[in-house]
Amino acid sequence: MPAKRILIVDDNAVVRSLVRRLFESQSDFEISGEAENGRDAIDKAEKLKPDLIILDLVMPVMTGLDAAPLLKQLLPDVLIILFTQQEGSEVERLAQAAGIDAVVSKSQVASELFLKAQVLLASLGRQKDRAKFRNAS
Amino acid sequence: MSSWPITTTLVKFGQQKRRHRGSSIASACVVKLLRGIDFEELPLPLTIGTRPAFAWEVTDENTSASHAIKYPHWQRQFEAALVEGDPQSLRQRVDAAESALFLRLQALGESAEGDEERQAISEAMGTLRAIQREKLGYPEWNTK
Repeated sequence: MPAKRILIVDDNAVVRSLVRRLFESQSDFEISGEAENGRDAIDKAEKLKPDLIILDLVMPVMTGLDAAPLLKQLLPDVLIILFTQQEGSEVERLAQAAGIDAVVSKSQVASELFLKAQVLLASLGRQKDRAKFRNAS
Repeated sequence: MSSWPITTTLVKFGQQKRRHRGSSIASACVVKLLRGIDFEELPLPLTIGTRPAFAWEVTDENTSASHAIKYPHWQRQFEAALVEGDPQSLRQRVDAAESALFLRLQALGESAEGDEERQAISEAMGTLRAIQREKLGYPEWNTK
């Protein structure tokens, strides 16, 4: 199975670097690129066509919540995880409305982000398999 | 001050990482994921403007009477962001503080001992968000 391509979007270089190294340590994943804000993410996503986007919320130029619907419009199958310091039901509600697939808090251990990515990608794989089966029968 | 401890926070983080080994499943999990990462290579800026990114050295002298440092892993970077007057350097100061806070949260993991510090980090993050919004022009995220 080809490695899943990931785009990391965060204005903080240290956060990007840590996330990159976490995912690079696993052969199932490949970091296709990094972006520093929502606008940059849209430009990079169009070129790189990632399977998964790790998206920060608070960024200069364009927030993660503003970028997410545009990213989904551009790449309808892409999975988006909001990786943010902000917590609470308001963030969850707005994230869901923006088409974001999951929210992971930066105050949780980084392995949570990794586990969530694995679960989401496995779930997407199962959905695609079911769709193929339905089309074939 | 004779030398600047560029890697002070990361070295302490590494020590924390070693202490956590085996202390809980969650900590062990993050340690496993973080093992092999060379924190010396993380892109923390060495200098911001004309001053070092880490504005104070963690020594016995300046952690005592003159300025109490309760959270040595991040408090100095956070305070450096608060007092930064140069708009050119402010973004880098805020980034450095945010990095230190994020790395500290990761080091704390899910251990029950760090609740008070986690609360302090949450408040510090809130302050950095306000600086980003009001002084650095970051857009609001919760206007919808």
